[in-house]
Amino acid sequence: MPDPNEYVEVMPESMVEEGEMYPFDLDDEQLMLAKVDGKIHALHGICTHEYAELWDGDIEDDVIWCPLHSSGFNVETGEVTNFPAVVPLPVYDVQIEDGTVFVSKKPIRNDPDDR
Amino acid sequence: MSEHRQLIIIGGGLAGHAAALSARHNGYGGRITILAEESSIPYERPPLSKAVLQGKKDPAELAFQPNGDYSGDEITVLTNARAQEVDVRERRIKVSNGDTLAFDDLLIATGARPITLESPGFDLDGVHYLRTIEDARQIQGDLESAESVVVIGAGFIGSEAAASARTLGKSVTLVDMADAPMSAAFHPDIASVCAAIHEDQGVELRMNAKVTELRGSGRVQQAVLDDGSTIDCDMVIVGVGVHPNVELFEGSGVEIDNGILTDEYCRTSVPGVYAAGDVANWWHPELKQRLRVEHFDNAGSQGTYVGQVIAGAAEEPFAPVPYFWSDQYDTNIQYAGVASDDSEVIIRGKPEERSITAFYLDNGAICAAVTINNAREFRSCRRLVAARAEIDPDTLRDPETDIRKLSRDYR
Repeated sequence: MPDPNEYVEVMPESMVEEGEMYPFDLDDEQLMLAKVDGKIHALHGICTHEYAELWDGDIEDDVIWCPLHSSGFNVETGEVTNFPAVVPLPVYDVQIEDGTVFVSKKPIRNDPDDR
Repeated sequence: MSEHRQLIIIGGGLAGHAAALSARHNGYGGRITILAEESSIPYERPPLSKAVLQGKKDPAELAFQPNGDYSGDEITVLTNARAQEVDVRERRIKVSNGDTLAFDDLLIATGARPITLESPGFDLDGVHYLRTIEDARQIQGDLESAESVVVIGAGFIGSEAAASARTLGKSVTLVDMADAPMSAAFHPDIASVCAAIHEDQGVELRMNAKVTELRGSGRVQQAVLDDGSTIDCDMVIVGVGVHPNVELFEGSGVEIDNGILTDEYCRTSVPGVYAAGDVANWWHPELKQRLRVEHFDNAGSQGTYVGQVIAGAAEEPFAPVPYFWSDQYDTNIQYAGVASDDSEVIIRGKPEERSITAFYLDNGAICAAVTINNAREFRSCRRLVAARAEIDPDTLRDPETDIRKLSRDYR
């Protein structure tokens, strides 16, 4: 099992459906899982442009679209693919063990603390 | 790509910003210079009518480029730099700071400016137009002491300015010659929901009306309508549309007709000269018509696209699904597509709760869609528009139909 100091248990892998997003809380932050082409990703769940819950948006190909103003984020890298957002979305590490999805407590890309 | 080429972008708005980054990231090896007329580097305008007017956002936070730094992409941004004369044959620009700049490639991203009204009294103090940070600062300053505001024009800027003033607790009258707010953009059954949203919030709507005169001694104090009635006010905000900024190119050889004319690759009639954003009137190869779109999303996507063209990296023509949004009070409004006057309109949702999704159909195919307070469905609707999906109107109308599920087949 991943180090509980660094990873948090989220949900069973079998419940994560292709093309869907699943919000969860990590301390005071709202994160989400997103499954694209069979791979589960974990990203920050709130748009970097204005407050919007990205899991209410949509996934097309490898882009997550914000429901409010159509900012686009690459699901793998968190990079912005479409304005109005200009700041990339934090991406977290995903580990799957014994059918359970674990997510890193710290972003592995686009950590706001590094900015 | 030669490192000795020079790209000059006239215009420091979103289209210019996006084009500069995109040209660089797609391999343009030469010098890139943005001429920005305002004192700010390129910034996000949509919050001006909302968070900035309401004093919730400092305009200094609006710059697109994090930390305002373009040096990593080797892009030069000249602020307070107005292009005064352009010679597209000699490939030279005279700039307001006295410099003459040479270019190989030129992007016209001069945007648009508010249409001004010339009726009596529109030169009084307290009469505002909104386009720039400076405009927004002045309006925000006036709003602090104003009690009563008249807003002329109920399109995007007027509707959002009215919502901001009302949110600040001002007494607001919104005046427009049309039957309802947002009528230029929306079918009457959708515009009526926009009207109800303002009325719910206590805005006084004066539709089918025109302000013929403003009165006051030095500063505006009263608006006179065409039926002779008057409205006392402390300030006026005018949002009656924009003009594309084309004057610099009159007689230059660049073809102009309701903006700068371009083909489907954003190329003007002069080789090596391109146009993008509010000023560009381009040929949409799929819709087979000319479009000039005055919205944020187009400036971003067309700017990004033309950067690829200039860098020699574009493969497909520019054929987006036009898109815009508006935020008024807590209401999110989004639209995708192009509708015609003949389009059939289907409305689902709950107009009485100010939450709807609307589809426009041309010959049975979905050509445009609107969501009001229904953002969860928007991207699904957009997919149906992009696919020009042909779905039975009764299915679209049926409240049991799950639009998100329905649109999955078009992903």
